Amino acid sequence: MFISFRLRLFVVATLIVSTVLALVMGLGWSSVLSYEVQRLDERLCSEARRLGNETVRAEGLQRLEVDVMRKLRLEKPSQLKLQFEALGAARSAEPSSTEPERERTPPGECALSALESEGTTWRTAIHLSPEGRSTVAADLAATKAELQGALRRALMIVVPLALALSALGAWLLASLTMRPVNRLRDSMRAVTQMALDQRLDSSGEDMEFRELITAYNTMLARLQASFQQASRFSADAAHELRTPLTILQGRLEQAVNMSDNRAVQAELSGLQDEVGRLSGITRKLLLLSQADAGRLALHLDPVDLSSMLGELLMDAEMLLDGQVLSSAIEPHLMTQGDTLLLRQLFNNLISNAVRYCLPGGAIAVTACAAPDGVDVLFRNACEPIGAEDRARFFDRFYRGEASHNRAVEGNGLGLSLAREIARAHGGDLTLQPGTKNEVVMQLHLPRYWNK
Amino acid sequence: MSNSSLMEILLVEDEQAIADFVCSGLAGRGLKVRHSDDGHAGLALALEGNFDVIVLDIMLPGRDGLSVLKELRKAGVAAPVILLTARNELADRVEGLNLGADDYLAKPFFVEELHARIQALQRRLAGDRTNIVQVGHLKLDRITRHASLADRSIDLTTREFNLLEYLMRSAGQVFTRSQILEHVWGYDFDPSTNVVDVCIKRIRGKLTELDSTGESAALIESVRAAGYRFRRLS
Repeated sequence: MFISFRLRLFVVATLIVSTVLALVMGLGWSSVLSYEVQRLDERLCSEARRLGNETVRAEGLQRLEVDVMRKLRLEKPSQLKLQFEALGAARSAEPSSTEPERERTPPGECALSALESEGTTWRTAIHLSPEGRSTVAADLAATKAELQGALRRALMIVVPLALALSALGAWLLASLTMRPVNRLRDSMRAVTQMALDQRLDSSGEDMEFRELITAYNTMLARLQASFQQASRFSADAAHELRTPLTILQGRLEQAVNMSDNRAVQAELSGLQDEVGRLSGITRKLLLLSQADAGRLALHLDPVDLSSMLGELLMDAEMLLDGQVLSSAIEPHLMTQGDTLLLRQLFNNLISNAVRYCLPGGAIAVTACAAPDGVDVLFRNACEPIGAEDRARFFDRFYRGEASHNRAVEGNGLGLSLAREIARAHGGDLTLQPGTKNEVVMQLHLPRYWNK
Repeated sequence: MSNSSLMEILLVEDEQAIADFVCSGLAGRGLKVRHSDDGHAGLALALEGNFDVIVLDIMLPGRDGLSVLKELRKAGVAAPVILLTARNELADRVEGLNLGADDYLAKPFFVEELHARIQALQRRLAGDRTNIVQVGHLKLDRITRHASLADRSIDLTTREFNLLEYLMRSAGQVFTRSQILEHVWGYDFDPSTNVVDVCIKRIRGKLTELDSTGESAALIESVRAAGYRFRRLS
């Protein structure tokens, strides 16, 4: 399914070059072969003409035979048949001459044919002269085979060489094509949500890639605009809510202090709780929007995670409602981090574990040193949770099915924020695969980290 | 709070409604408050007056709180400064502390909490004279964080100690759960939990262990559905 484009380019280029090569060589081969066969035929004809010459015959057929065998590259006498049939007595003795026979023999026809006889194919040339009919027949199979063999030997060197050259060329071509693509890929990879203002540089690129880069940059600009708008919206909303919330909380506090009526005080106190909850959501939204924009400001200090966890677990113990809390925290686990944000992170994870744990269920928190930092596991028993719900755990404002069945508080921002805080610290928060009846969260924080 | 009556606070806050309840709240707790709603005017006031604590909002018209703080420190004004942060609170907090702020409070905040912070700053400057909080036989030492009932030591956790100290500093006043939660657990703690009630129950249990009459435990009064208060002993 996932074939490399470079590999495909290489294969296609090699195939095309090889096909062209095969065609050219095939054509060359057949023309060389037909040329050679034509030459053999011409040779047969000329030998037939010589046979028609009386002077040559006078020197003895034996000698002629040897000469023809040499010229046709025949190995055995049985591969050649010479025959001359005189036509009547009208033969006249001619003076012997060393002149080329062609000029002396009268123009006559040379008929070529292939004759089947004794299981072999005889190439036959028949020449008619005033004296008679001369026939030269040769078994040329061996000669042709030898010729083909020589050609084949040449091809066996040429073909692999040509294939290797075409493969090398195709590979170079593929690499050349891939180079700007790879450059683009590296540049695109560098663009994260934190750096949406980056643009790719199109100078020095070819026309096609310049167009691609322009299209990509345009898309990035649109993405950045809408991302910033969304991020600024929640930041602005959080900020605008802050002042009325402050006034509301201050007035409620004043009213509680001024009232002597217990019922009114109880009512106002309840309202304070709601304002507090609203403030919490506002604060989380602001933090999330800052994290989204890559501007979560961290005040880094050395943090003793073990004592922070210990303190928060003591709080968690007060919140238990029949659940069993156990913990195994290695002492003096240190990290570099923002105390406030890390406390928020742990708070969210621990209160989530308590909130969604079944009554009587087990909650376990373990923290230990990892090769490059600290690993903290939060484990709690829960009502069976399916894969779809698990996939939505980090969605904002998502609350598990359990929250509908039972009176579970929470706004569904906690886990999302916890993960952002972990990532802002150079770590991560992940949901570990586990059984259906258990939630296991793994937090990893690096030991030292410089932003 | 004998020295509180002499304390003078400068509040620089542009939002009139916020300034109103802060001024009246602090005045009701025995502090003298001057208010300015503008950065420039606030800086001028701070430079000429001799304030015990300056409460600075960061978002101000004219001149923002951080720049006022910078000018004050440059001019050699050493009065403790509490920043009220709102927007981008984390970045402001970091910068404010670097510029020499003594404390910060994120909006929304309780005036009770602001008062507690002001008192803590005052105590820090005044030395160890007011480190003991005592109501009846119950005595807390803020420095050694040691609690005792009629000279018998009580073993309290950090949260329990802080809660008890918070209630005891204004005996007779009602503290709501939200106020207690913010002071003892911080504003990032989930307000929907009943952690305050559980913690009170534990403190009462520990007091009853030492005083089986139940009188000490009864010092912490529940104000039905509203919160808690420490009984004022006449």
